[in-house]
Amino acid sequence: MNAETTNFMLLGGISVGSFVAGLYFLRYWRSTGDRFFLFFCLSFWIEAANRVDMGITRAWNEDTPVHYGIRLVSYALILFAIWDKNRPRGK
Amino acid sequence: MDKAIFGLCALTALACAVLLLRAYVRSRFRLLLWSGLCFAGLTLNNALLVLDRVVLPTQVDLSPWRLGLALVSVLLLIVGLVLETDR
Amino acid sequence: MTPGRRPVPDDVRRFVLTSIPSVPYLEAALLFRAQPALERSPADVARELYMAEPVVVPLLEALAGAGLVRRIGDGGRYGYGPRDPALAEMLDALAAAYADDLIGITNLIHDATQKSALRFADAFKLRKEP
Repeated sequence: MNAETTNFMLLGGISVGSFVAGLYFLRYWRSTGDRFFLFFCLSFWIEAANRVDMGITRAWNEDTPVHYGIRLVSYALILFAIWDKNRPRGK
Repeated sequence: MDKAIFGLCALTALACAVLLLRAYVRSRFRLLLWSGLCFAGLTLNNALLVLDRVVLPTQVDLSPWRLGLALVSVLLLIVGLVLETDR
Repeated sequence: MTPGRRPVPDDVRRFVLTSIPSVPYLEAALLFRAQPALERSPADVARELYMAEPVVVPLLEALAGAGLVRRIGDGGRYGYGPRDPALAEMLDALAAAYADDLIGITNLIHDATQKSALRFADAFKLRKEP
């Protein structure tokens, strides 16, 4: 089993999957107006782009500052979404 | 630095998984189960990144397994979103 | 959202998305609310809502289970009986919103996307709300 080609395929799958998940969150945002979903959409889309870049640069382990930096942004968006939802008078 | 980031990501994903699965137990709404499992998988995915740096020797290449886990996690979420968006 | 009308209030919107599974369910609830003192049998409700009685029976049971109507005796009769004042207020608001914007409320009842979204987002609320 060639780890490289397997990883390319897996990264491709993860990117498209994350993109589609983001699309559903986009749809939820448009239908409810709740920006909680916008944050989730962006989080997943940023990760999708991250995975594409990992494929292009063959960085299987998120070793570079770019990749773990973007990972941080993606998850920070989720944390922010949860915080925003739970603020008093936040919907 | 990167270990701290992956640790934080793992904790965030864990929080999401707990919240979603707890809500699933209360309401039995299946989307919450699928998405909860997704975030559980992502928790593990990020935790493995930390583990990879800290514990395991450099010969062992976990990357296909880790990426496979991430893919399965995302697929679980998609299954939930596609199949359960229907009362 | 239909322009030019009062938009459905947020709390009514949330109530419809979480608690009103179908239009007949809503119509039955409002039927009871319109004449709170009146007792009705499934046959009465079926006649007034132009529905078949076998369909009405589980509907009334669901309404009773949810605390919108109450069972009277064991003769299979029902009457308006919201289980608490907050629910009664909500039903009043819902009745007003339904009268004001029937299509809007009906669309909400059938909006699977909003229902899923709401349930997903609700999971992330840390404070337990009823």
